[in-house]
Parts: sequence; structure tokens; C-alpha cells
Amino acid sequence: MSTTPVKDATLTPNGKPLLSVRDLRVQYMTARAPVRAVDGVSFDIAPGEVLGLAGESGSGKSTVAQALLRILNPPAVIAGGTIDFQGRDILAMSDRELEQFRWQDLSMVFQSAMNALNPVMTVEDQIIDTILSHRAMNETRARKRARELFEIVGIDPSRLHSYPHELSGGMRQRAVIAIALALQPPMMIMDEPTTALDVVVQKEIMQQIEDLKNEMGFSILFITHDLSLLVEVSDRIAIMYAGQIVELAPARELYERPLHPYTQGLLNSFPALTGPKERVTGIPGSPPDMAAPPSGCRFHPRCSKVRGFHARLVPPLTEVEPGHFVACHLYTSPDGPPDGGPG
Amino acid sequence: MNYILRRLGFYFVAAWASITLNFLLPRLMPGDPADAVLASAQGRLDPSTIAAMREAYGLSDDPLLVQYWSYLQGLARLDFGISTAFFPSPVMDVVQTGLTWTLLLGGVATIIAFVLGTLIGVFSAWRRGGIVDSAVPPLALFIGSFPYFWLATVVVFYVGFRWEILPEAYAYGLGLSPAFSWQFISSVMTHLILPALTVVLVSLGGWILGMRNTMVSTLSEDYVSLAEAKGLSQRRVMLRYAARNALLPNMTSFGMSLGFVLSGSLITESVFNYPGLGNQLVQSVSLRDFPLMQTLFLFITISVLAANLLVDLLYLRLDPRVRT
Amino acid sequence: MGNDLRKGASDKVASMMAAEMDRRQVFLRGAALGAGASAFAATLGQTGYKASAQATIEGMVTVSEQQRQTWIRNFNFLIPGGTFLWPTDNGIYEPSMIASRITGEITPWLAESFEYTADNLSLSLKYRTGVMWSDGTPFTAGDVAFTFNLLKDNAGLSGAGGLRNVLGITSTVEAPDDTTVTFTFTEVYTPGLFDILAQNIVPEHIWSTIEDPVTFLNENPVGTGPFTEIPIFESNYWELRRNPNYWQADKIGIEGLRFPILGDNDTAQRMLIGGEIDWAGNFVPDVENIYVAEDPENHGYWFPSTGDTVHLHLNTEAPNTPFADVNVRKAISQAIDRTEIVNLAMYDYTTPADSTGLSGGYPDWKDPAHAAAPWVTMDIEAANAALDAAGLVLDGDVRTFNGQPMEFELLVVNGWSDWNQAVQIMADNFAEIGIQATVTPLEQTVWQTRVQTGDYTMSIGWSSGGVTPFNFYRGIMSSQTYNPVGTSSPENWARFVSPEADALLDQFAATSDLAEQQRISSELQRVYAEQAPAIPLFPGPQWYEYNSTRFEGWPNEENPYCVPSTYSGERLLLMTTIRTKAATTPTT
Repeated sequence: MSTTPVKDATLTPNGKPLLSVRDLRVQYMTARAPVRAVDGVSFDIAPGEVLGLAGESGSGKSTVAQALLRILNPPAVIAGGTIDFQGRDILAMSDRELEQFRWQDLSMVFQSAMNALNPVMTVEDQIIDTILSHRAMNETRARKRARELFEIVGIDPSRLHSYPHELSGGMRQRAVIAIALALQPPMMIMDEPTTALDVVVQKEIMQQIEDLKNEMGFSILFITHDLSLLVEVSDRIAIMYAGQIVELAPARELYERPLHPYTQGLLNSFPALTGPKERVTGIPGSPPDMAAPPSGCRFHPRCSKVRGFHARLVPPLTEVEPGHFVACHLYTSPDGPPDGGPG
Repeated sequence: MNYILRRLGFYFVAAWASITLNFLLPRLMPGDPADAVLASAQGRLDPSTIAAMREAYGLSDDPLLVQYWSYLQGLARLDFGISTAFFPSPVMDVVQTGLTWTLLLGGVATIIAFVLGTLIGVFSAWRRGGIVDSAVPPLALFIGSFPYFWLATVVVFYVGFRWEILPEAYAYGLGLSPAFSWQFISSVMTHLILPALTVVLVSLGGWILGMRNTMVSTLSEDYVSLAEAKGLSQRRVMLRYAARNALLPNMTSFGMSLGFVLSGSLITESVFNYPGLGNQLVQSVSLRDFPLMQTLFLFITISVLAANLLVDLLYLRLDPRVRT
Repeated sequence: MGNDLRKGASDKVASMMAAEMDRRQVFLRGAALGAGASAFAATLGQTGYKASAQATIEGMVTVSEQQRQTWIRNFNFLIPGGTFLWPTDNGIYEPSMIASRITGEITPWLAESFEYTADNLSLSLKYRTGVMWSDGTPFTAGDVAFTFNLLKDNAGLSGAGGLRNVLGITSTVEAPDDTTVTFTFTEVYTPGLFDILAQNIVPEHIWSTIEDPVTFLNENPVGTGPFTEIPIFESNYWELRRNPNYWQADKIGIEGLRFPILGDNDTAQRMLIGGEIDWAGNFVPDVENIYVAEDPENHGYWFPSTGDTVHLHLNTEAPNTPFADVNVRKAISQAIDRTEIVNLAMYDYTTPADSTGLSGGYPDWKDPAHAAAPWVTMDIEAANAALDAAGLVLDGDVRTFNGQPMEFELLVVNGWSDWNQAVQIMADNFAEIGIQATVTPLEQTVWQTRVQTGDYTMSIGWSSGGVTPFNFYRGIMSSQTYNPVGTSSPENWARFVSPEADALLDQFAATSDLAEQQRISSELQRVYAEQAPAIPLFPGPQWYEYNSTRFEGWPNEENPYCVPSTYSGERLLLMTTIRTKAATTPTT
């Protein structure tokens, strides 16, 4: 089962991409059979661009994030593909190069701020060790930088000497963002940065992220299952299902004209942040067992528009409109199998 | 601070309870302790000698509360009474001859096993499935599953006797006197190697496994991933982030082991004829030296409590979460 | 009243506490470990516990006696309980005379002679001149009088054997001059002589300054003995070297004695087998194969049966028992297979007891005429016939007495495996005569209390002893040692009293004429053989192993000049006889 290769240029909105991922495969080496958590994912991120990555839990979106920094925990291994960052192949980097690359070029705001901070170190120490390991800077200056960062993310710098458990959830999340900003990288991964927070704090933090991005101009790979949130912050959005990208389009386009039945289902499962209240409908069925994913189109068992050959043939990710990619037989072969076989 | 006070309160009550139990237990046993001492010692003694012993040993018929009060007063002065097996030497004089050696042997062996086991555990988990991880923990567990007595006896036989590499008895060479001299210190060290080695060998596996397990689960924590993602050196991620946190649950078992150092070396001391408290305990039981026995039990209890208090204090330093 | 005089009360307790228990327990271990372990121990010992880095030990005899985990300086042998170091008494200190239980001879030591007045109410002893304390002060009769008065004045001090009782009837002990000591008694009690002779003497010039002799540790002993100097004392090792002022300097053939810590019997045995112990008082199972075979030329042992006789005690006052009937006691005795007991439980280290009950420690006293009564020989048929005749009819497998089945507990001390094996054999034997005995092992303290207070029906146990048979017979059939059930009777466990024996014992204690005493002793043996107050099983062997690689002059069966065990009260005879071999060949 493979995805049809996509032309590089078509994935990048304009100019040279900052990050270019091609045919990324991540497998979990389990005793039964390797589980393909990420199976042939390709996308680009341009400088300053915010790419949203959405999907149900288990779709592989966090795995993609971890693969980009090569911090996958065993038994997960990168089984294939390339990750190109400003012309450097991340997957080919030595340990030393990797240490340099990490955070300097690509940082990450972790999913759960509760667990992302080392409980036995002060947040200050967790900021300055990041700085000191990358910058030839003395400790005093690193501490000064830590104060600045806290001010930037809106925490009273007196809290720098606190241990993580002494901070509120919102403060922790801000501290994690401060850490991600420490080296002012050109790109940041944000993996569900606001999920665990209450709505008011969530809004504050999202606003903060917007402001920072506008000020500093870094790219973001924004991962969440909350599609409505993505629509507001992203330039483009990619939808993942069962380890694969099934639709990729500019945010507004995707929101207004979702093509893939899965995307349509996703959009229906969230109340819009703005606009009139509509009835929320979910997607019937449950995400597939990744150890034995369905054949053909992986969504076919849950799809209301399924046809016979969908179970046999894999739909390639195809640009059906400029900048709008979808992997769905409804658009690539609306009239039946391309080989003309029985429908 | 609240935490410290709570713990101190707990230890105070525990110490008082064990001190009191220690006082009561021998007195609750069938027959009074005076008779027990006499009966065990008198053998076929002439009745007049028994009377002399009763007189000499000053066996008390005071009411229990009066005895309890003088017992507590004695404790405060570190006066644990007179040993009946070494009469009229004070119990403390007897205990002193063994205390240092037990602390030395047990302490050295426990600390080496803990430190070594923890380091190996950390490394095995860090390089899961690597050469070290596939070879050392199973080997250590294999050795650790030998019956200790058997292992120690084999070591005594081969290393001590057959190959004559190292001494297998006593804490230092016969004929030497304790002195701050190289001759004495080196003798103590060479005499320590075999008994300590056997203890380390059998206990290493447990420490490795314990540390490896907590380390493996710690490694999947987000803060370890974050540390890695931050581009910190492997060393720093492994030690400061992963091992530092994985160590915490193991500190409790370390505390318990340290606490049981006083009693734990029983078989070691016996096989290696090492002059520690374990051997004294065995002897005091077979000679029914109740004052000595009681004192040793009290030492063991207090040392367990002290070691746990130490671990609590250490936790306070190591884990900021318990400070509030 | 005297207990085992030659061993001395303190020796006894010391061996009880430190050795005897282990000696017994080792049976169990020896049996469990089997031959393989023994062979292992044998090889292990060869170079095992080598002493390292030490001053010259040439001429130093390595001794295995006390089994302690640590050495604590204590040389006060007057304290009861045997907690002091060996050999404080009969080593560092000396007695007036030494009576040997193997030769029957009395060797003058500090004293040269003794004499009773005609009424036996006064005893005077003549002491040597020229004896010096190890600090150079001359020894005088004043030291002797001081020692006895010190004991008399301090109830917390223990004397040799039954000396405390002798002191109770002693009105004065005086030294009219430097060589004479005179005892005056309030009543005649001649067996007390041996307790007086065996008492070790302390120096007045040291001990008179001691405030409380009962808690005195006497860390730097000053004695008259052959070995008094302690150049090194560590918790794992100490040495006792020769007395520079010894009065028999010509008799010391060695430099001294040395004592490495021997934690337990296994360690002691290992060192012994490895040839690192020269003189030991350890029990060794299968000694021929384990010890002697290791070096047949130099490794020797001798286990003289001079210990006290182990008995089966039958409580004559226990309710619902026919043990007051002498014929029943004898019948029970006839059921016992002593040969098997000696063979299995005692490794053939001793012999079956005879009908005088006396052990091998009475060479000049035993009367063969009373030694071969039929009731100590196994004869099941005769035993059954006697029990039938006593009216104990069989009901099924078990006889009944007064309508009650004869089912009794047979007490034994838990863990003393030689005794346990012996009672097991007896229980099997008794089944053949219709008596069901249930072996009941008890903790020593419990057992001791039960037999002494008479709360038992049958129990294995020891008996009393002494230089003369007086103590033995007094302990086992006198009204003076009798106390009824419920009160403590420390010696007369069977609660047996013979008026005839009482009269004979009184006559014995009233005369100081040896020939007369021997005649009376013969009568006592007759009474014992007729009455079977308790059932004798076997005389206790005394453990003794030696190594003649470096030293010679060891006593053994060919040269039995004293009871040779380390814990024997005659050990001074051995210490002043053995000597370093002229040309010591280095051992490899």
C-alpha cells in the first residue's frame, strides 16, 4: 500500500519551503506485526507559515511531530522517507548534528505541559540548560534571557525559581512556550498546546501565540484535534487519518469546502467558534486498528459514500483544485475504478 | 516544614513503641527473664552457685513500671545493662566490638551494590536492547538467584582457600592492632573484599532491575522527550532528567537496605567469620543473653527508623514536590 | 556437698554455655551435611584461617576452647556463670592441689600437704615457699586465707564446685604463718576437702583493693600460673604468654597459648582439621576419618569417659506411674538397647553404663562386684516377665497401671541431637514392653524447670559428679537432695530416697580415712545396683583433640596422665607437660 508520489512544488504554496517532508513512515515494532503509525506522509512548510495538522487521536499526528525532532520512543522507528530542513536531511544527521539542530532550528511546545516539565528542576534551570547547551553564554546572561522569556510569555519572572508543581496549568503552558522560544527558532511544533486548559486560559494562550508569531515570524506546525481552532490560526490545514494525510488545503478553503468525507465529518463534530449554532454530527464507527488497517481507502468502512472498489484501491493524494489536495476516489475516480474494472 | 514535623512525629512514636516493645517482649515471655537467664546458664550448677549468680547478676523483682523507668533512664545514658554472657561487661562494650565491622561491611556492600546496580540499570534502560542491557541484568539476576549461603561458601572455598587470593575470615589479620597505619587499613580492606563482594553479587540484580524498570517508564515521560528535543547532551538527558527522576522510587528500598545493614549481614558474617553484630546476635540467642539480644534488636529497629528518616530527609532534598 | 570438683563450676558453665550446646547441635549439622561437607571442611581447613602479619608465634599453642564472636577482657574467674576468658582458672590462677579423675592421684600444687584433726572439724594445709605472683610479689598462705574469706564475704562470688556450701559450714579460715592455712568447721563434712583443694587462689595485694569483686573485670590478671602475660588482646585474637616468675619454670615447655576467634563449631572444626589448632575440646563427628585420617602421624584424639553418666530419670512421684516399684524400673532398664544408643547417638565414643552408674572418672572407687547386675543388660523377655509380675497387664499393645494405659511423655532438650537420638531408640525399645513413650523435645529452659520441679514422668538427663562417688550418690538417692514434686529438686529429679544410702552418705562425710570412704562407697554402689534409682545409659565422654606437629607430650590413651580436655580442671598438668618439639619441621 503506498501513496502516489506528489510533486514537490505542488505542496508548497510559494517559494522555497522551510521544511519538506516526503513519504515519511514510522512503524511501531511490536511483537505481532509492525504497526504503521505514519504511512507515507508528505507536506511542506514555508517560512512564516502555520500549517495545521488535524485528526482523531491515534491518527499519527503526534508521531509525525516526534519524527521531525527524531525523539520517537522505542519501539517506534522511522522506517522511511526524508525530512528536509533548509536543505539538511534530518534523518541523516549524526547525534552531534542532531543536538545542534534540535531547538536551534526546530522547537516544540508539548502536548501536556503537566508532564513536559522535569518535576525536580526549577523552570529557570530548564530554560537556561537549553540556552547554555546551544549558546556560548555565561550563566548570568542565560538567567537574564530566562527573565526576558518569562516576560514575553506573560509570567511574573519571580516565578522562575518555582518548581513545575508550584505553577498553575496556564503558567506551566506558558513556561513551556517560553522554553520553546528560548533560542528563537525559525520553526516550532505545537502539539495540542491548549488542550488541557480551560476555555478562558486557552483563548489567552492562543492570542499570545498569535502575537508572538506575528512579532517573530516563525513557522508553526500546529497539531490539534480541534479543527475549529485550526481554522482560525492556520494558513493551511492537513487532515490525517490512519497514518496518512487525506486532505490538504488552505484553511478557509478547507473549512468552507471540505472534500473528503472524513474532513466533512470532522468539521461537523465541532461547534464553530463563530457563526450560527448548527447540529453537531459525528463520524460513525471508530478509528481503524493500525496493526491491520483496512485495505484500499482506509476510511472506507466508515464512509457513507463508499463503493465496492474503494476497498481494493488506494486513492492517491491528488490536487483537485489549485492548492487543494485530497485522497478520495470520489474526486479522482468518480466514475469507477481507473482500470475500468467492476465498480 | 509541615512534612518534616509530621515525619519526625511519626519516627518519635515508632521509636518509643519499639523501645517499649523491646522492654515488654522478654518480660511477656513464659517465665520471667531472670529465670530464663539462670536456667540457660546454670546447666548442672550447684544450687549455691545459682544463688550466687542471682545475687551477682542483680536480677530484679521490682514492679514493671519501676523497671521500665530505670530502663528508660539507662537508654538515655546509652547504658543497656550488663551482658549475661560476658558478665560483668556492659552490653555496650560487647556491641562496640562488632558495630564498626557490621557498619563497614554492610554499609560498603549496600552502597556499592546500590550505586553500581543503579548505574547499570540506568545505562541498560538508556540503551535498551543494547549489549549491556542484554547481558548484564540477566547475568546479575542469575547470580542473584543462587542461595547466598552456597555462593559465599563457594567463594570462601575457591578464592580464599583453593587459590589463596584473599583472606576469608576475620575483619583484619590476627595479631594486628587497630591503628591508623597502612598495614592495618590495607588488612581491613583485603579482609573486606570477599564478604562484601558476595553481598554485592547477590543483591546487584535486584538494584539493576529496580532501576531499569523505573528508568524505562521514566524515559517515556514527556519531560524526557522535551529534554531530548531541546538538544541537550545525551548524558544530561540520561542523568539529570531521566535517572534523577527514576531514582526517587528506589531511594525507599535503599533506605530499607541501609536500615537492615545491622541485621542483614547475619549469614555473611557467619560464613566469613566476620566479627560483626550479626554474629553477636546469633551468639546472644544461643547463649540466651537477653540484655545483649534486646540491645541488638533495639539497634536494628532504631537503625531502620534512622535510615528511613534519612531517606525522608533525602527525599526532601531530591523531590521538591514533598516540600509543600 | 560438692559438684564436679575437677571440672570446677566455672568450667562447667563455660562449657555449657559456649561449647556443650554447640557440641550437641553439631550432631545435627554433621548428620545433615553428611560426608561431602566433612570432606570439604577437611580440605578447607588446611590453609583456611591463616593468621596474617603477626609477631612470632613460635612455641605458641593455638587453642580451641571458647566459641565467642568477640573477645572481651574479663579475667575474674570468681564470678559465677563462666563468662570470663579461658584459661583464667587453672591457667593464670592455680589451685592448692589437683585431683585427677583419670589416674585417681592427687597432685600437690600450691599446697604441699593437708591434714585433718582427729575430729575432722579442722583442716590445715601446708603451702610451698618460693612461689611468686606474676608481678613479682611473693605468694603466701595469707593469699589463700584471703581468697576463701573473700568468697565467704561475697555471696555473689562463686567457688570451685560446691565450695559455697563448704563455706557455709566453715567458721574460720586463717593463716597463722606464711605457709599454713587452717580451716575450722561447724560440722563434719570431709568431701568438702576437694572443693577447698580445687579453689584457685587470688593475690591479696591486688584483690583487697577491689571495691566490688562481683563486677570486677580483672583486665590485667596477676596470677601464680604458668601463663599470665597478655602482650596482645584484640577482639578477634589474644595471646597468653609465659609467667616470667613461674615457680615451676623448668616445667614450661612452650611459649604460651594463642586464641583466634572461633565463631562456631564449624569454624573450629575446619581449623582443627587444617592443622591450625594444637589443642581442642571440640566434639568432632566421625573423628577417625575427619580428623585423624588427615594426618595420622600427628592428629590424635582421646575421649575418656570420665564425664558424668547420662541417665534416664523416672519420676517416682509422678501420678499414675508405677515407677516407685524397683522391679518396674529395672524392667524398663532391661528394655533399653544401650549398645545401639552408644553406637548411633554417641558414635561409639563411649560405652554402655554399668550397674554402679559410675562413669570412668572413678578408677579407685568402682567396685566390680556391683557393676554387672543383670538389669543394665538388654533382655526384653525378662523385662516383660517382670512387668507382668508387677501386675501391669497388657491391654492390646499397651500395659495399664491402675486402669490407666502406660503412655508417657519422654522429655528431651530440643536440638541436642545425641540425646534426641538416644530417646528415640528408647521409645522404640519401650514399645516392645508395652510402654508407649512419646518423645517430647523442649526448650532447655522449659525442660530444666520441668525436670527440676518434678513436672514429668520420663526424661533423659545428666547426673552429679565429683572426685569421689559421694556427690553422684548423694545427688541421686539422698533425702538431702530430695524435694517433693512442685518444688525445685536440682539433682534428685527422680525423687528417690534410700534411708540406707542416707546413712552411708553420712558415714562417708564424717570420715577422712580414704580406705573407710572406699568401703562405704562400695556399699553405696550396692544400694544403687539394688535400687536402680535412675536408669544409667552411658558415661559422658570428654572431648579432646591434639596436634603433635609442633608440640609433644600430649596425654592420650597410652600416656593417660590427666583428663586432657581443654575444659578439664586438670589442664594445668597438661600445660606444664607439653613442650615445643626440638626440631620443628616446617609444614607444607
